[in-house]
Amino acid sequence: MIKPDHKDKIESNLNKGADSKHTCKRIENMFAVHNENRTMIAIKEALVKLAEEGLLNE
Amino acid sequence: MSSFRKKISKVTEILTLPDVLVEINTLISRTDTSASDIAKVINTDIALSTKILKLVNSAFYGFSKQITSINYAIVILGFSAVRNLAVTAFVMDLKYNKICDFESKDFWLFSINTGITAQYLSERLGIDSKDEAYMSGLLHDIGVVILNQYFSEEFSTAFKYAQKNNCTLLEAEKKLLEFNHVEIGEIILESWNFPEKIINVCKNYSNPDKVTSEIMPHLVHLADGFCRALKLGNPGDNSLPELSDIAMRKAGIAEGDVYSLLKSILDKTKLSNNFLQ
Repeated sequence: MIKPDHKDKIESNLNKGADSKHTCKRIENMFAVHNENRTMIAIKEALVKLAEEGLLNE
Repeated sequence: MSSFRKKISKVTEILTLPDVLVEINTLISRTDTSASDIAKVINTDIALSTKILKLVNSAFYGFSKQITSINYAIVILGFSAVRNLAVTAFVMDLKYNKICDFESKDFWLFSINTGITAQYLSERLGIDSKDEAYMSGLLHDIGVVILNQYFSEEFSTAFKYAQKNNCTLLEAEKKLLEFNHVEIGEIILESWNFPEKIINVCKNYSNPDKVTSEIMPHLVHLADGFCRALKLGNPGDNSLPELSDIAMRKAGIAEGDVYSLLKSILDKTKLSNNFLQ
């Protein structure tokens, strides 16, 4: 049996994962139309990292 | 005269800059102006002075002691920063039609964040123009609000096209309309007697490399793009125009710096919604 506080933590991580997936999809869409220059590649990589850390607004 | 020119010249007749702002601009351009000269002018408009004090005392500035007078606010923040707050309060009160889910507060949040980001980029670069950078970022898309309010049918058409085709509002306007929000912004800022430098940013930020070597259009170009990428408000579309390598070089941003830069922008703008309360 999972302890209640640990269960909350798991749920929170799952939600964070789902949010990050949604955000990464938005980032993919945003960059889909570009012939990526060096700047755009650097921005995309930074955004994905921020999304994975749960730091982006959605 | 085209019907657009007729209509926009009527708009510039109706939509004038308040006398208080005109006076503040005149005072700031003079060398013998004191803080109390500007405070006297601001205090003649109770609504404006209340709004400025509210902004100055918001968590965004984080002063430990409450600032209770405009005079003191000017001494602490400086002439130009207080003028910027007055302009922010004025533009946020401009009329606006909600279209689909695009609300004025989301648009102004985007514009304020672009201003804050442009200010940060200019500070980071060590150039002495942070107040000009904020004002340029705040007003860079002012034409969107004018288009929304006074050409609402055209705005609605372009807005829906941009949403559907995943392009910028400007691209949609260029495709569908005889005019666009950049041209409208330029006309409005000229009619309000804003400095040439700020009008040039509004005119050139979307494609700075091809038209200017000045730094500010490049900084606002990047600030606009970073705020779009980070979804800091709503510019009216979900697109991210391609950002210029040249602008990045001019702003002194190496590719390896982008992650920490975006993180700093998130931090700098996290309290910007204080401006909207």
